[in-house]
Amino acid sequence: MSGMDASDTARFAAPAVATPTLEQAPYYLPMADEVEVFLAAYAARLPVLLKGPTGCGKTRFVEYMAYLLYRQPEYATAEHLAVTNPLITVACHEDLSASDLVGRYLLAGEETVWIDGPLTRAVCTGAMCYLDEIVEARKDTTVLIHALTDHRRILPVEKRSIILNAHANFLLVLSYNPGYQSVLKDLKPSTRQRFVSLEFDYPPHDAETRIIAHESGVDLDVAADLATLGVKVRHLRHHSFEEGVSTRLLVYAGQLIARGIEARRACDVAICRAITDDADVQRAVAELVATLFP
Amino acid sequence: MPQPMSLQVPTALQATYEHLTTVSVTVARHYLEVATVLQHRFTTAEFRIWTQHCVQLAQSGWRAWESTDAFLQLSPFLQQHLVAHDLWTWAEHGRALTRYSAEVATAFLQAAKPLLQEASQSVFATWVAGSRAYLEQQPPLLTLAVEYFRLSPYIYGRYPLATAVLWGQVGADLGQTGVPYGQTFFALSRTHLERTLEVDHGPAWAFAQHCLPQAPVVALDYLERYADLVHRLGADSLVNIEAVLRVLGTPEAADARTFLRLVGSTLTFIPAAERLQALTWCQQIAAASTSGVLDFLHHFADLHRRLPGQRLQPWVSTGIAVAQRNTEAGQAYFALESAAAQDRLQALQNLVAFAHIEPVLRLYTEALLGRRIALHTTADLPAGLHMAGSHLSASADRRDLPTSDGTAIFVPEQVSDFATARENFAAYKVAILHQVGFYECGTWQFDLRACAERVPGAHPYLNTLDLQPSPAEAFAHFFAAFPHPDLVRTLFTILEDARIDASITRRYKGIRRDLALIMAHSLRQRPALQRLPLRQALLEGLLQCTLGGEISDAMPALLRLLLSRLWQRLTPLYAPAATVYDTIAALVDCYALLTQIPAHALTTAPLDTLTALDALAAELPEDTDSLALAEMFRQAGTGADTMPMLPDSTEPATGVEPVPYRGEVKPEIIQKKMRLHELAEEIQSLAQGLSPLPPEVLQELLKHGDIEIKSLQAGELTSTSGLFVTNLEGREGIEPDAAAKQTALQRELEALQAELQQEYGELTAQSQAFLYDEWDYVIGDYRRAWCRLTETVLADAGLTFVEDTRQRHAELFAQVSRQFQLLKPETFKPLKRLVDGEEIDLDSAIEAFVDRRASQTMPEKVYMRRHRRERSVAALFLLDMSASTDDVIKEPADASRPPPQAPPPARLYDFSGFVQDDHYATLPPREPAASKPRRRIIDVEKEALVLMAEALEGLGDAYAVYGFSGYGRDQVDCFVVKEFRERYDARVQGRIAAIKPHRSTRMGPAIRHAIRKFDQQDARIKLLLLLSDGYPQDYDYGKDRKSKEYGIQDTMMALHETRLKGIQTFCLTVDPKGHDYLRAMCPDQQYLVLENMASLPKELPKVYRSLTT
Repeated sequence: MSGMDASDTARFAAPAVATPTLEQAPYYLPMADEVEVFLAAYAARLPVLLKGPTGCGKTRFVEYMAYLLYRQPEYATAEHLAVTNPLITVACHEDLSASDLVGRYLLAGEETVWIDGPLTRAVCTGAMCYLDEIVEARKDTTVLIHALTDHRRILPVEKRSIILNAHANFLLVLSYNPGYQSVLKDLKPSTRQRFVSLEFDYPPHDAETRIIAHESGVDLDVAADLATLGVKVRHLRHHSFEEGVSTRLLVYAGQLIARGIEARRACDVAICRAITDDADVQRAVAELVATLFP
Repeated sequence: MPQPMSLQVPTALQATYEHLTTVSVTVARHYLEVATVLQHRFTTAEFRIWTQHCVQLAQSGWRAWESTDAFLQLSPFLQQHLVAHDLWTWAEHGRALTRYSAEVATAFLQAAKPLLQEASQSVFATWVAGSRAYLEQQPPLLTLAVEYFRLSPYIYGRYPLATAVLWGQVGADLGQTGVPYGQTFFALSRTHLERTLEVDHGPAWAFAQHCLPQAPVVALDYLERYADLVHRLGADSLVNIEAVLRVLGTPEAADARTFLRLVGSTLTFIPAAERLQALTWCQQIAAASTSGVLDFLHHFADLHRRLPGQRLQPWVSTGIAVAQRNTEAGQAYFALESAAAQDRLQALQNLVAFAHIEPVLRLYTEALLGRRIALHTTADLPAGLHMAGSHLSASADRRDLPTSDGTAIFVPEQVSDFATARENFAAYKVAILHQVGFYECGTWQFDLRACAERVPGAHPYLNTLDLQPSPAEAFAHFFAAFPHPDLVRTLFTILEDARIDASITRRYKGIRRDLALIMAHSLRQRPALQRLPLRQALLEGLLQCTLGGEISDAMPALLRLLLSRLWQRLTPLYAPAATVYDTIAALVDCYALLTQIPAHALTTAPLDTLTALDALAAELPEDTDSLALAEMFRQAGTGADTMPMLPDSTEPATGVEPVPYRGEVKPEIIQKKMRLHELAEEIQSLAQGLSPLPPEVLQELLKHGDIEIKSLQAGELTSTSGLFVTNLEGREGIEPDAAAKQTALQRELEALQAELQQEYGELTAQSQAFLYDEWDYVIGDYRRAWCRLTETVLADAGLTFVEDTRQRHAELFAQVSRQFQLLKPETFKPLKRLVDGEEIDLDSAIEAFVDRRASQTMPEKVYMRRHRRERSVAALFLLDMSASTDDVIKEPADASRPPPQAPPPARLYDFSGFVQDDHYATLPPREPAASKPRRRIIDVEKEALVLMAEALEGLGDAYAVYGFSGYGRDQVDCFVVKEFRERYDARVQGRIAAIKPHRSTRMGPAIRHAIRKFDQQDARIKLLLLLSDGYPQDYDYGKDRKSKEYGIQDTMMALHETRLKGIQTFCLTVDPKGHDYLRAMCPDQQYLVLENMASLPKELPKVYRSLTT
């Protein structure tokens, strides 16, 4: 295998999306010092691991940081601004294998062409690669992650017998939900200890109220009630269904309310029916909604 | 003065007299007396005829003197009332009757007087004709005839002629059926005449005659109860009753009698207007199902309570429809046993029962509070919690008030105060919200020191206290600091409830409407203030204000003034930031105000008599302070000399009736319990840690001694072996050095620990009994909660069995383990020819290109992927532990053992000289054949289980083992050998060894219980393996004990339910007749009949393998 550096790989990198993304700043309300920590980690190019339940703002946070680092003048260099897709997100699933991330040969017409995977594109262009729910993916992705996250920062493309050195601006960000994984699916210590870990959780009541109000456009007191509903439903988290209600669902409910749907019905479709199929739990949540909303 | 021996007998009478003396002297003398009188009244001819009649009568036969006597007695009376001709008719008839018996004749003659008094001579002919019915029977009913004569005059007097005749006829018919019946009839008639004369029995007799031929008993019963029924139910309803009896009486008299017995008592308690309706229903039901109507009456009180009035109609109509389709189903319906009946009842009534909404309410409570809190009904309230707090004396009768005790919330079992089910459910929600409100608003965080800081008004009272009691006793000390602690408690309840309600209304917009409705409802039920003494009225008035009541002008001026003063104090409680200390501040003010009211005769009299005070109060300005009020009272006291003075020690009652939705809480107990709970958790965490239990904690435990050590258990020794319990109060007598004493203490501590865990630990099931429905194929419906199953964990019986099994089947073990290891999916299996995959599948790609060249089309499936398969299996083994498994199996012939040696042939002749054909010659000794212990079916099953367990441990699948047996539907046993989450350790191995045969085989509930066990398991493949040795049977598994069909049907339905839950089933049996029923019972023919039981250990793994791959 011969090593190749960034200049050579430009021949191989084929950007999948031509139009630039992340032109506008996404809304993100910092809870603690996560922004500063991330900035510092990026400065040292330390890979970051985000832990937290679904819908609590991890993806939004990564988008925000990507915007800051690649588009905000105080942090972004010319190189950064040139990257058309600063954030490449991959949603991992059970069948996701190394070749899905790195790339594969495809038969196109008469020819066999090599198509880059998202990870390769990020590595070559110097973007940020965000692997969401990494625990779900197959274990052969571990090889890639380990190679990219230690001091070597290389990506072995085994099918083409080359090793790519990562771009200087490249950063790998992973996320996973430590809540409901079974014992079999868990990050091994050798993987976890390559990352800086940031824990996320649902925002506290006041912060969540502001987020909901901003995202959905409802009044503050309706948003406050939605946030209270979130708090109450999350108390049932460990009991009957694994996740509490995510902030995202609360925002959905708020959006429905802002567009004229009656409050109880909006919560019914956005929350009760979405989080569980168990009739008793649905009924209990419906009663909570009825208690909070007139 | 004794009669002279010889009388002056007039000559005209001489002959007759002497004639009569031959019969009896008394009669003769009597004759003389009467004749003397009558001689003057009769004409001569008449007299002669009369005398003739007497003589004839006297000669009529045995005991004629009785009848003669009667005639003689009667004659004066008759002579006065009757024409002579009629008199002779009487006499002749009397003589005719003597043919039958003197008694009859006597009775006849004696009846004359009452008959003529009550009725008249005109009825004579009819009357006599009636008597003929008795006398002309074969054999003649003489005793009954006597009774007839005795009673009939009165009957003829009371009733119109036709009815009287009917009466007589009924008696005769009954008598014909059987003399005892007739006698009963007359006895009843006698009772009627004596006691229940006002009730017209005519219809009763008509009915009795109607149903007589088939069921005389019913007729008599009916007559007996007739008056009672008329009294209770009214005469109109009897038509319906008779209709029912007509239907019921024909096949089975017993049913009709039961009906009569029940109908009176049951229907008395419902309002009169509804009785007719109830009887109409009975009639309709009886037409459809005879036994159904009896069950209906049995349950009527309950049904009526749940669905009063017309609301029961739909339920009854459904039942009748069911009964018309299928008699058995109808019977089960009205007995409230079938699922259809209960579901329909549930749907119709607006009553909300806790049992039905329990899961939802649990989740609701947990979501509100944020932590697990137990939710029980007030029926489960511990007695101590209920009895304590005697200040609320009025509430001793009401057991269904919501309350909480720090670790659990108690709500009523059912709520039916409102019109719709939705509102009753809202009542539950409000009750729970109120109880949870105490926790959310920090009531139990009350602390005396903080109180002293934040409530300056409380200083005078708190100064007497030491401010450092333990936090568990803050309330107790606080209340005790006041001179009138009961009053303080009441005030605290009222004020704190108001604060909580205000907080709920503020924070939960959605519940406001329901809360307002319930408050208004509670307000309507409060007592009127006018009749209460002053202090009581103030407390009650304050409570009503917190419920939204208003201080109206209709109230007496005094009350209005004081109440508005009190109400002002409560304003801070409605602010958003109100805490329990604001309540205390308001409480202190109110207390000061209320204690100004002297315990005076004045204040124990009801409010509307205190007009004197009213006048005074009207003069006071609005913002008078307490001193002025006290002055006012003093004034009023001295001016009212005419009012009676009661001694001061009669403390007026200080409690108020609790509000239903608010319930009642006892703050002292709650704080203590919460503290104990915390201590328990501390102990638990300490026990898991390594630090020893600090003595202070233990001290506190022992001090708050509601704990009884019921039993010393040898619990597992935890790692806290290093506990030194040296310096405890009351234990100075123990030398810490004595090892024995220390171990004793340690055991006690562990017992205490176990006790705490038991009483105050996490919410666990109250009992281990489960109720399951059963499918009854005859009625085509489930019988609700028909079987009661108890779960028992088997005791450990040692490891020898498992080890023996391992040795015995060593080869089989190795074989099976190997096979199961192969089941583990280690490898990636390549899947070729996919539309999308990781790599290009070279073979199909080449073919694709070839196709392209050949026909211009190119298939798309040219990729391949490696697919990893994972196993996700949960298996449950359900073992039949019935008595039939005790049978010994036939061991297969063992080829390894040599056949026993044939004994050498007996030698007859031996030239050594011994005679060999002697019977007592000894044969050469045989080798002792080593006999294995006979194995039973259950032993083989156990071995198979051990084999499976070991193999599955290697494979990694989740599995559980249970056994079942039982006797009867109330005692189904389920024996736990291994739960899913347990490991296969020494304990489980011991339990396998402890499996032994029990009693019957009721499969249905056991299978349903197994379904429940699967609920917590999350696996792709779920499997239920049933190991049995025969068909399902139990002594009451179906009405017909000999029929197997019921059991088979129920098991079939249970297996079907298993299927619906996504659980596969498989039955293994050794019953050679198994094919007959298993074919029907098991879905998709998932069963296996083993030819030879001993092959079970080999077959079971094979079955398992094939089912889970």
